[in-house]
Amino acid sequence: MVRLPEIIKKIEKAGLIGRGCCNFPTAKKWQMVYEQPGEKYIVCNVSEGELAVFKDEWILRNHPEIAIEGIKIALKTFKAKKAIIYLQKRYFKKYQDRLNRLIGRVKIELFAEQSGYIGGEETTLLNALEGKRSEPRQKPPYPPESGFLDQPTLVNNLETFYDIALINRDEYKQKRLVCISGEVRRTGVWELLEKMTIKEILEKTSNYPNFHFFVQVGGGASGKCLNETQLNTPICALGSIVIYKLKVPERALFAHWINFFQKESCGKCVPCREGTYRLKEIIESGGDLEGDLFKDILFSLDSSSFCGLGKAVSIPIRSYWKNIKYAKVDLERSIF
Amino acid sequence: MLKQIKIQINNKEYSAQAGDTVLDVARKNGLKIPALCYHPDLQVQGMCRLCLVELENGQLVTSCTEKVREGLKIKLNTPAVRRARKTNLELIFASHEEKCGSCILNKNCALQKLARDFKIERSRFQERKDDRAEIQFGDAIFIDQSKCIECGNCIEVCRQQECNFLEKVGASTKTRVQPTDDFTKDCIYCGQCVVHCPVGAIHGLPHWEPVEELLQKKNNKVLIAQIAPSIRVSIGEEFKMDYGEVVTGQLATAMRAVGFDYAFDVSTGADFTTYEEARELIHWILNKKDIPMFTSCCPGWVKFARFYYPEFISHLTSTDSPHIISGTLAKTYFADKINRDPRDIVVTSIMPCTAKKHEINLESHYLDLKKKIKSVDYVLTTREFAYLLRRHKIDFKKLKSEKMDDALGVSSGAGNIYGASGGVMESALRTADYFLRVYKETGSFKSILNGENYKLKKEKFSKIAQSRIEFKEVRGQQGIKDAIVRIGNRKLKIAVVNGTGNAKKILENLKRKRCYYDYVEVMACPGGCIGGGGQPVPTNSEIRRKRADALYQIDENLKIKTAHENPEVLDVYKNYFRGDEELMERLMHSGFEEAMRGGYKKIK
Repeated sequence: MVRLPEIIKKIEKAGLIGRGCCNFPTAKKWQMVYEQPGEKYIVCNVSEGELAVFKDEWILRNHPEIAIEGIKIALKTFKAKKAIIYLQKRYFKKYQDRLNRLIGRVKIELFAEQSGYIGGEETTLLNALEGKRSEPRQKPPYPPESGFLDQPTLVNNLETFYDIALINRDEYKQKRLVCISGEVRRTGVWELLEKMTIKEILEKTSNYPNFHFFVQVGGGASGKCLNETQLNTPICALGSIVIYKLKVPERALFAHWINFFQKESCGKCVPCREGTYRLKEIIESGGDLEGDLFKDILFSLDSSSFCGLGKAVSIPIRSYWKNIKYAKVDLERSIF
Repeated sequence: MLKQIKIQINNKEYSAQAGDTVLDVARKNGLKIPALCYHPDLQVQGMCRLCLVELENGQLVTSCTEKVREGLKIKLNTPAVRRARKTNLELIFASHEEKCGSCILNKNCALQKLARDFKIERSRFQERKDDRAEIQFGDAIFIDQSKCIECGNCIEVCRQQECNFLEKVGASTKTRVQPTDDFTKDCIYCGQCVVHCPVGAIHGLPHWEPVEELLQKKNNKVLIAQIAPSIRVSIGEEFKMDYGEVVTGQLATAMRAVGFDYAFDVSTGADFTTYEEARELIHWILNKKDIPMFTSCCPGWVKFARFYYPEFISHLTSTDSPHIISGTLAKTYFADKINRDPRDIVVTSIMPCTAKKHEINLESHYLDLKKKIKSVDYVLTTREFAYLLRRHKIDFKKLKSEKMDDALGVSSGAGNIYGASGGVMESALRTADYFLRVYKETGSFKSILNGENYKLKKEKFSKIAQSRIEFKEVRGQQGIKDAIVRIGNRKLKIAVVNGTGNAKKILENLKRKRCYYDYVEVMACPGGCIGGGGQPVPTNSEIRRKRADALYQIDENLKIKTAHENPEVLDVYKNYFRGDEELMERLMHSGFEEAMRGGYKKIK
């Protein structure tokens, strides 16, 4: 049994969950990488390709030095060969100078993403770093076991490194970043307590609508839809809330989501590459959105996609049907 | 001994080894799981999502990637599996333009079989690729992007061949497989992409149409067909016969039935190649020329050397490949015999190879460059010839066995084993051994040049002609075998390589003087020509082994096992060449130059 470094114990005590989309316990991931033999690598994921998510950019703009501090802690803890910050194209262009100044002579490199949304998927990211096509790898093995150049690799979101630095400084206050957008008065990023409910977040940020609405949490593409009566719970997902007017037409809504997935599909597997294309076709041609054809494609995406992108396609749609369109409560009953 | 693991499939227990996938176990036990993008020669792609199975918790996984573990319980063909599989199959069909009517794989196609098995009459989706391009690589291969489902198999095998000529570009539904613009890479026309494509999107450049036209409107031409050694143990597969079934006699009948005037055997040509290559090997050794000498009858390997390793061009034998020699002799020696002008003779080779389509266009392989007379005019792959026979409703299985035509139809065992990796080497050494003993006994090569079939007085027993050479796989270099043999009274260090990926390894080692060989045989295709780009699909290591074993069995069963005892070969040397070394040089030898990039061009 390997003796764990102090920082991993502190992260565990803080109960930190990864700030990317997968919500994996950070201490567990750090322990997995720590226990692997061999030369190690650190990767900081700033692909931030999900719609309605811009919290990592907030960090790059306001506190990049804290995030870099977190990466340095990782470099030291794992005695890693080097760290790579993987940035979406626009962030690379805008923040590379500032980041390079902060990095100085430390073994941290910057890498500009060439693809898009799929580049945020960790194994696709690793393939891109290796000069390969931006397509995901078969999992298992997972990056802690075999990642960059088949070596044990820690892949964490930028905000996760930010939180780790705060934990190390004993300044972590169980807060996380929340992006709010959509039909709201004040679009932006707020640093709020993890345990705050969605309702409390909207009230505190003066964003609670005075019209009938529904929300999408966890991302503006792959996030779940919840109705007005379901907001007494914390976000429990990627820090993002999108507000929609209740009456938004279903077809336009689905088109918005599916067009995104179809454009961002890497093209590797049949259900995602072909399925999202055909969903788009059905939506645009006025086809039956609850017909067998549409539902068969969603089923194939759910059950047989190669990676998480394909598996996420049906999330907003199914949750919209369950919680909004066919909600068990009357969502138009006025509560004002 | 690998650890044994017990898993359950449909409530029945099966034994597996650690590292096996569920698909491996299913295949070993005759359980049917459809898989389109999976190929045992290649890394798993995992993209077609047809090989689905259901886990105990209801989750669907692809059986090609699911590794076995103790207690694993799998169900095949559950309602969930069938629903996802049917949808994925329909999606695949809609991404593949159906051109079955003009496709060589028609009725022999994995995709068609899946449609039958899953009772899909039509996809609920419209085909989306009618605007895709057709791209030709050099003069031997072409891809129809409208049929391509972007599985990546061709890219993977081209990577294994160390050519990396193909790549995937774009994303989402804009993804395409196309040749690279990197001018340091080129196609070697080996056709491994063709035999690993599950949907018939890549083909050898077809020659069957002009051949069919000639067969129908003779135009007073003499039409000659000649079959490679590999065809006789492979073409049966196209007609649902067993792997490795020997059908030489039926092939002779088939060639005549479809309209050819003469049915010749390239195994005879191979005996000429052996005779000349053995002479060259001895000359090479005695004069200490560029060691090692490399065989050059494989045009895929020759293209690889000429483009990627031109510094080794001087190491390639100048002896022409078997069908080039027999094509040349057909238009010279045989033309004289039947008193016809070579311009009226058309030679069609039936080959397991796509690179031969390129080989016949090289200037050095013209019989007469000025008069534009090629040694060989057309090359039909095994598949193309089977397709031609089907078109002409020739029931191959029912054909009677006939003999090849005289003059260029009798072959030795050595000539037949050319199709298997190591066969060229063995054949050449059997004859080189004899030549050296003749030289030792008579003091000259005169009797050899005159085709006298000199009978040795002493040391008549030749070990090398009576037994297989025992090759050992070179440690740490999988795919390269070597041995030390005695020919005459000399020791030679020899190596046999198949796959240009392995050829690259040996070339790099030779460059760095990390190894020494006197003579090396290189075949671009796995297992040799029997694994060639023109062969029937499917292909895998077991099928290739059966084809190769059948060739060695022919060798065993033939009384004459050496090229230098082939009466037809001796007849040509005695009565046509008559010791004229310049004539032999002109008709049976060519030099090579560095290759310019053949690249690609869009033809649609």
